[in-house]
Amino acid sequence: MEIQPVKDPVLITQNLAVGYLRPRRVVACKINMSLERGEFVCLLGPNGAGKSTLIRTLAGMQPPLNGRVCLMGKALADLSATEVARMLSVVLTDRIGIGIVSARDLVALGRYPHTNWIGRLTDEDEQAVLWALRAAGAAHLAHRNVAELSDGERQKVLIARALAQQPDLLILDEPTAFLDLPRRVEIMALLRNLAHATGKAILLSTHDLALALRCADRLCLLPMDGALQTGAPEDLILNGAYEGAFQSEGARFDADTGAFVLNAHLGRSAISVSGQGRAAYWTKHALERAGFRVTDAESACHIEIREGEPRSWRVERDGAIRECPSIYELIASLGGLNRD
Amino acid sequence: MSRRIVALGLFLLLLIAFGLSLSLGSVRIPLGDLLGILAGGDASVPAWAIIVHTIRLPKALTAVLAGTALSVSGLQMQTLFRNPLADPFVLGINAGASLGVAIVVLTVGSVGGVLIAGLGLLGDLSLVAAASLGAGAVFGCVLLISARVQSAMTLLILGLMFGYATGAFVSILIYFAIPEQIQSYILWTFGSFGSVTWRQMPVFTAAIFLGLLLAFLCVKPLNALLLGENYARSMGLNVKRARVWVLVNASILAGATTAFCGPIAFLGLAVPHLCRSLLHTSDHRALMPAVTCLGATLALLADLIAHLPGSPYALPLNAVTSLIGAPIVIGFILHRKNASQAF
Repeated sequence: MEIQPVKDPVLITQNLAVGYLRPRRVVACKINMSLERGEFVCLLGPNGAGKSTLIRTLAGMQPPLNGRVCLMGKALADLSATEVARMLSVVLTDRIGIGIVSARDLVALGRYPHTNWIGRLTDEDEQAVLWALRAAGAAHLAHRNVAELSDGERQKVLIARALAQQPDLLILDEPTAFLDLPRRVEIMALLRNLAHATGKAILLSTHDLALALRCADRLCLLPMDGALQTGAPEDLILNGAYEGAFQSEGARFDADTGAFVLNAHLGRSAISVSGQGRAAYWTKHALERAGFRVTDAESACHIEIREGEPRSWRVERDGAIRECPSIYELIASLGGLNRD
Repeated sequence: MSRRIVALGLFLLLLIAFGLSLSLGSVRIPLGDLLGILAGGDASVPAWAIIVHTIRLPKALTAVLAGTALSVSGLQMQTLFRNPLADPFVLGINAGASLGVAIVVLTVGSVGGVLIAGLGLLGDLSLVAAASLGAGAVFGCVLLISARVQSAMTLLILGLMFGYATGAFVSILIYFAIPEQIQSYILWTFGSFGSVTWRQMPVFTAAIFLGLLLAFLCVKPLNALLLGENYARSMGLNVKRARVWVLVNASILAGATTAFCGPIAFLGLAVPHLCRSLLHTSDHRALMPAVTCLGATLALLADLIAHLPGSPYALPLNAVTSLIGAPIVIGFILHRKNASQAF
């Protein structure tokens, strides 16, 4: 039996080219992508590849240079601003210099395309605002002044505002940019769960490669020069697209561990380490960070971790032996040895 | 709920200020007589009825209209430009009006320092017309440019430059004028609520009411603009069109007021800040009625103080509004840690 993929795209682009009109500069072109209902998609790419330009074009905030964007089966260019606003909402990187507005009032502004001429909230609007605040985990912030919120709290309120707009598609431009790691994980998990629970499509751009690998249903990779590639994160790792998009002189993507490693400094030698457990792991970590190649084979330089109170590191190299009380001093002494 | 109470309080304050401005002045008219006069009856002193009907009532109505107009206009400009120091005149509206008046007063052969009295009603109207034309001309330029400009900030800077350029023309005119002409021009720049006659009142009232009506229609777009232009656009607002409407609206209010009363400083800047502090919100649905009431009240009180009740002397209105307004704005800016969030 053949499995038919469920196709109910919220957004499709056809041969889309994005960039600037005056002067005309194409940032990325031949973009063909689609976003399905309930899908959490991360847009990745190096700085300058055009993530923000693509995001702005998809959100209808700047016109495409070529090709077209279709939202819910209709061309974006043919829809009125209000029609678009009822299907698509955004979280931008713009500073909100908003004055005195409570989080709840800010979220209520998301009802803009649904309310009457003066913006009066009906019962239905009130319900939508409450739901959005809860769904974004911002209900406890409702009565706080937006200007006094932390970055993470403000981001949740802005997500709630976008949700209150009740769109089919939510587009976020680097929503995790200024957040610390726990907050980033929290926001990403929140968005993924929202996509799965509500059936909304969510697209976000991010620089957080590791987190995107873990959370996204699908990745869109926008390399510096070249076509947009999409697929499950694992697909893109296996076909080398991920590695290709982010290769640089200083670091490379390790497809075995799914992490970025700094490229080893040339000329640094192999070192073997004997020891166990956590101490051995972090010693190897430090050596790799310093640019040494850690090997299990016999080598000219050997480090023995001596457990005890206090722990020490014994370096044996070309007959010379040195004791180091910390990893910091171990690396420093190796640096000295290496320069000989 | 507390916002309702504040709004009600502001309205009561307005009524009290209105009553005081009718009752107090160079002669004090007791409340009982005042009510009698307003009801169409006689007062214990016949002259009082004349004072109320021909001087104080039109002056108080003018103050209410002008205070309201400037405050609403200031609120709109502050939100549109996302700038706590924006006021009705940031786009050079008053500079344009000043130029119009300066051309009439400083170049037309005026007789002595009593130009308005000398030219009678005709002179009176010609000042209003000149100020309107000047304000309209500057605003027309701003509007033409605003269609081509992306950011509101650029527009703000252009408006300021227009103001400076227009001010330069006024300086040149003053330089070549004779002292009596300069004096009557300076007199105009002091501002006054007392120069609108009953015959002019319908025009002034109509202009201000048109502006206020538009202002209430602009409440929703202004709220969206609190989030910035990109968010406003993403919620379905046609930002360029909304900007033009708000500019037209704020300029009708500011231009009409300046044409009839001269350039009144600080009300348009201070009242919106005061209302935000009182209501603790930037929501224009709550601010608009509050700004309307408080603007009118402050204008009445400023005029009352300027006339130094009980004395035959009077102060320039602009001096009083500045002396009230400046401390309010200073207090407000110092109170906030971040002035950029103060609107």
